[in-house]
Amino acid sequence: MTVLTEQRRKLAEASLQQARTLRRNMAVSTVLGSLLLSLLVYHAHAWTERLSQWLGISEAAILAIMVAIVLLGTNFLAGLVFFRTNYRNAGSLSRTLEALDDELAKAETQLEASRDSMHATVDMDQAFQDCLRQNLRDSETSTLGIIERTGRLNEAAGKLLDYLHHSSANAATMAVDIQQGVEDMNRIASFVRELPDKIRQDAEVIHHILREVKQLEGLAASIKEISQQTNLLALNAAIEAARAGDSGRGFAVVATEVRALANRASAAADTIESGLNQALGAVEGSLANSNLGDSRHHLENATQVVDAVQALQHSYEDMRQFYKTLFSVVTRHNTELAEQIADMLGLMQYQDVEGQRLSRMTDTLAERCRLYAGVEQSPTGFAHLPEALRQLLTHYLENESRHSHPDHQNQTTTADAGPRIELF
Amino acid sequence: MPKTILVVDDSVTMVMSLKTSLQIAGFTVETAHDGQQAMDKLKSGVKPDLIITDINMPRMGGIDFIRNARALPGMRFTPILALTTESQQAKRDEAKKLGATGWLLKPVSGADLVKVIKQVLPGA
Repeated sequence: MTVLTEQRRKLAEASLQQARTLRRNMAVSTVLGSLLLSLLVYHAHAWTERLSQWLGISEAAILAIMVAIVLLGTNFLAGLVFFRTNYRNAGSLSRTLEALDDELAKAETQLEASRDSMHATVDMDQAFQDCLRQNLRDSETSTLGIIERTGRLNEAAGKLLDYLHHSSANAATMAVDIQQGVEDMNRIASFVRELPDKIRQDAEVIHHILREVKQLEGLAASIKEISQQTNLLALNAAIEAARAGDSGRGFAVVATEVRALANRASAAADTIESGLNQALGAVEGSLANSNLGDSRHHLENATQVVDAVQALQHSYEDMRQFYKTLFSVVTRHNTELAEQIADMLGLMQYQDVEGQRLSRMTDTLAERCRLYAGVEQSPTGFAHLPEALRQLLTHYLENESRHSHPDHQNQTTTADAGPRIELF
Repeated sequence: MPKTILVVDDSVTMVMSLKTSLQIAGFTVETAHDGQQAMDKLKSGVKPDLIITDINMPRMGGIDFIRNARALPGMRFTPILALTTESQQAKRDEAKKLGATGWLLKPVSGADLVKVIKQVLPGA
């Protein structure tokens, strides 16, 4: 029950009490007057006659005057009692009305305070709305940023996939080339396996030729010796010819010896020619035994081997360049992907910023609820609530200003704080 | 040998975001959800090459954590970066006085964070 209701109840009870007192006094005075009048009429009939004679007026007039006096007295007494009762009730009623006025004044003060509280609450709610709008904008911006970076991630991943598909086709082409190279290499291996036998056969032929040539070395020595002796004999013949003059017999001896030497030289020359022919025959025989054909075949094989090796080298160069480019592209794309992911993760930090902002708001709301709840227990009611709400709002705004506000357009500084990144 | 970074923040989102960013950048990451838990890790033998800490945290805040961490043996010259929404100059000055290496306001992009780390952690 409110104070005003209580006062109103007291006022109604006082009015009712006054009516009851008035009714009781009226009833009592009526009964007393009637009783007194009856007693006067009953006991005064003897002396009303004497009084009538003494005053010279009729007995009826005396009786009327007496009734009038009794009624007047009775009414006076009743009025006096009524006045006193009414005076007391009026005082009570006045006090009740004064209390009611006080309560009304208090109620008006409370109403004014509650009106101020409402204004303070509206201001606070306005600040909360600003904060919520800011949160909404930040959430929207960070979400759009994440979406944008997700798109870039998808684009980068798509490019990488396309490149890998293209690379796969190139790799297939290279695989064919490499297979060809492998076949060439197998041919090379086969050639290399046969090569020692061929070399051994060639070496045997060469050794045979060497042996023949060594034989020619002895023949050459014989020819040299014969030549020296021929020279000596020729010198002797010249001396003898000078000495004999006309004697021609010595010349015949010398001529015979020279002839014999010439014969030996001719035989030696024949032997040399034969040896050379044998050596030539051995080489020709070796070549004739399809060695020459094999050599041509080997030469062709060797040419093919060189071509195959060159082809393999080209394939290797292509493959090296291919993997170098592939590594470069994959590295570049991976770096781009890592940067995009890092930026996306950076955007996630807005959740913490917004979470802290909402936490400060909920703390303020909880404090406001506590202030509202305290009004009921406070003897002053709403009186101190507006000031408390204003202080709470001021504290909230000051606390809010002490925290960074993400600036999506300018990441370097905040409006009212130091640089966003500062190294001491 | 990858460098180890201790991340201290009461926000699970922040811890996961930073941990993933730093791991992508090639760092080993240890985490703690308040200053007290970070102190327990340091005392248990975790030796980070760098610490990134929030300022406003339950149990033990970032300012007290910087003060206590600097008092531990071998932690005198370990770089400590404050990563926070707190923009009060007094707090920034106090952190600087206690030996913080830098002050970063949230949010910080992954590229900026790695750039700052490479500035204060040579060879990272």
